[in-house]
Amino acid sequence: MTVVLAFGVVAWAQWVHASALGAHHESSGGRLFHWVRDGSLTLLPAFLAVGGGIRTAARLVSRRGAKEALVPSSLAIAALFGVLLVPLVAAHSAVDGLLGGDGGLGTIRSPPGAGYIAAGGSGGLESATGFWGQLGHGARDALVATPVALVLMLVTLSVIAWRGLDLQAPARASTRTSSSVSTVVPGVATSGLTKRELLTYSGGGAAALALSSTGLIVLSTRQAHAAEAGPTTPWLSENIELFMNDGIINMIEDTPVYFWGWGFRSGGVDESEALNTPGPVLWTNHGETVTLDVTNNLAEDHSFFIEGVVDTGAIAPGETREVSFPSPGAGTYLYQDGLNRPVNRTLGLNGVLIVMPADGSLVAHPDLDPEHWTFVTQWVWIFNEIDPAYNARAQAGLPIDADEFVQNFLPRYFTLNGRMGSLASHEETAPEIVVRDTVDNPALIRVVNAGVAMHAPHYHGNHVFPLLHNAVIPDTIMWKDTLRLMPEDRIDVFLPYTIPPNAVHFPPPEEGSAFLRELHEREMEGRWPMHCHVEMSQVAAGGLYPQGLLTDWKMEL
Amino acid sequence: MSGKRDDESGGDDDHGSGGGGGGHEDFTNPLFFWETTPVEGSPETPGKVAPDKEFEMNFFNRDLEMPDGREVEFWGFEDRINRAEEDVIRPSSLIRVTEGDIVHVTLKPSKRQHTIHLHGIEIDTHNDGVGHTSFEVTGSYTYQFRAGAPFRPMEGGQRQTRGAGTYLYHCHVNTTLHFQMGMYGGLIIDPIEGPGTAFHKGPRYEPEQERAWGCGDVDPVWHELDHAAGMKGGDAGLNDFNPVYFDITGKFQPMKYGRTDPDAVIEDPTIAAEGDVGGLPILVRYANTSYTRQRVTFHGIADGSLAVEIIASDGRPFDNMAPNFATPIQLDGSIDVATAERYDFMVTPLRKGTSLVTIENLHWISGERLGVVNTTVTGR
Repeated sequence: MTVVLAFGVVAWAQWVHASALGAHHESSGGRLFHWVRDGSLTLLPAFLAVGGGIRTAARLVSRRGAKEALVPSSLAIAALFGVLLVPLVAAHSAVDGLLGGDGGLGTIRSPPGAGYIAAGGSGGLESATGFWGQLGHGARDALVATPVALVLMLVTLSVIAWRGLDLQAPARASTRTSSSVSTVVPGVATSGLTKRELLTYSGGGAAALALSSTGLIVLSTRQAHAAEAGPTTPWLSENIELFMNDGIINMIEDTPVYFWGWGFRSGGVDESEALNTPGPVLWTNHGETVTLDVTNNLAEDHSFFIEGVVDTGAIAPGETREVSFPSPGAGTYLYQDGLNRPVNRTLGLNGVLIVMPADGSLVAHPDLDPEHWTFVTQWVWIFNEIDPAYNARAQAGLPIDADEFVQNFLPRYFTLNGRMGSLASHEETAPEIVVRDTVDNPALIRVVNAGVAMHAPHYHGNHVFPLLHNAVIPDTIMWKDTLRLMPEDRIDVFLPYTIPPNAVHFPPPEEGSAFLRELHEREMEGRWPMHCHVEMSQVAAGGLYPQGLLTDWKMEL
Repeated sequence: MSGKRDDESGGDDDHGSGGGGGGHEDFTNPLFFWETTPVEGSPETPGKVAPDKEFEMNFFNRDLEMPDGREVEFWGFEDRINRAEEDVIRPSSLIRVTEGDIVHVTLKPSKRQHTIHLHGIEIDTHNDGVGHTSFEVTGSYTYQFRAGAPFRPMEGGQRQTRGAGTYLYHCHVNTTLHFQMGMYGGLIIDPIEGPGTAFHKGPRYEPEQERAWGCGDVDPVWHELDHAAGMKGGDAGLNDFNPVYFDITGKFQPMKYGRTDPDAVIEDPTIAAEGDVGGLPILVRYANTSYTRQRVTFHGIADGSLAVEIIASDGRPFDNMAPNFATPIQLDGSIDVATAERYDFMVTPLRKGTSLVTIENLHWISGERLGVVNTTVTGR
């Protein structure tokens, strides 16, 4: 959408300039170059407009479905884009002038060989100078561009909707209290707008590919460095195809390790060749039927299995199996290859299914009192461990005995959504992991252990409430700072996002020494780790503390 | 068992001299946190106010003789202000405060990078003692917090009356190694009623029979490692933990044939507890300070000689006061506990006699029983 918006509008603007205003008289090569350059320059505001517009529209129509969201989304994107264009056009003029080398406005430089083509005959705003003149020019061009942006967005969104993308989230955002809580935050895995929608809306083309990889990840090349990992684990709810793939993923210190994992296809995004581990987050509402196709691209039998919910049995190499099952009760589930448990799961064939309450309320389970347990954002954290010796055996096609595996498994890497340490702890590399919000906006974190080791997730900054254990409300809901997370456990954790009550000052005063100011400039405050307290999990390759199973959560101040 | 003193901090090899932001300079990979982790000699405490309680935690390293005769080096924190015993070795000195107290815990002088993380205390990042989210200390730093943890801070300096319970503190630099080396201790917050009451308006216990069980483990191979092992880029084997010795608050389970002797019992009166039948119950503040899954079993429950109620966990009472809706849990024999969790057991002897309490240490992956620690509860 970003690409469509940017290049579409720039093409329109150029046509207007050339035909109606007669500003630029360029060769076709020059015009093409101009279009590509300006289109590219416009990508950023277009991207911001798409993201911001959708977010704004989603707030406005958070309780409505796809068709209602279409028009407001388009309007919001177009309006935002228009506003962003004002300064850009002004800057564009200056850039043209600079490149033209003659200090004049409305002059562009075409590709080498084409020579200079001076602008001629332009008047009025086109050659206006000075701050106000430039601003006027910008405003006019923005006005010209906005209707086109609107049309483009309407068409694009319609196409997306027509192609079967459900713009309506499985669970709609709702507010706990009338209006004090912002409902949705696209990009942070909340309800309302989903990861998938973000992918669909903001991505388009190359951007979508970058967004779609999960943690460790990888891509069509089947090999990538963990440091290049894409930022999100996609959330899928309809028209899902999963592909069991294999390939090499480099660990944080560059050791290449063979994995089994997942490609996917959904909502017009084709990542069928990818290798993601964990797999995409699947989500649905209680009461709905989940349907997906699972293709085994590996050399041996595998299955699609959710304990107590669905078991395909062996899917042969090359086979595609349609899997359909009624959604279980609200909660969090682990999907995995059920063959040779826990081996195949731990080697990468795992992922999470989320079931939201049927009424779309923002609680982990309908029996939880919404007055106390309504969340604002929700997140998925999947833990796993890697012992490369077993990955190598799988790569060599050697059998792995499950009992022997559990007895002798010596993990060297520990991952959260496929990421390690610093790559899991910064929003730049792990935007779907690092929980972020402002005070008093509780987050629901669905913590899942896909590995074979016990973990002890420990939260700094706030105690948490484990609301659901394996989709069941416990007899008593404790208030904990450390949890016991056994293999295959799913604990839905409510992080209250309260100001830390033991702080004498919050935030602490920043005046004082240069060191204090330095820490303040780093925006250190309001950031706490969550890490596993079985401390072997905090290292990578036997050392490299803290490059293991940890992340941060952030209270934006 | 004997302690040996060596005040020249650390017999371990030197690394990063610290001070002025040098950090762990062995590293060049930009991916690593400590490229950006500030290391400050003696940073000031922002907004320092007059404390109600002060602790001065000095780094030490001392050798301790294990049950099989092997000398193993431990590191820890020794409180030089409220110190009750001559040579603290394991665990580190206790921090005990009252709800509402402004508490200063001063880490000093550590020479090498260390911090104090107050485990379970909800605190600003600046005082949280985590190297990679704040800073590491080589000289001294005073961690400041207010004890007691209501859902939100109270206005006007009122004493806070929630959050009494059992916590830990530990070094959060190269935690994998430093915690295992023994750089942890207990942190207890008493309610305003004082010792003898578990939490504000909560159940009473016999103060003489309050026990703190920090149940740990020791892999002697790790205790030979360098201070910065695990932070220098090499494979230090910190993913491979094979504990041999197991203790309750520094009292080790006797050994037999190279393993813990399952028939032996720790009878040290600071660990084993006694309570009058019909009298006030015993409060056991239990923490898993090992890197194993621990299964705590009160054998007296099965034969009717004890009743055990879990009344709190992780410093949060089961008092059913919003937003905390937890209510006490009657223990039906045993409970499995992960590393760094705490449970407060209210133990009521129902008849005279001694019954066994076992803490089994189960491997974090295989579940294999690596060692067992026994002590007793007696009704009189």
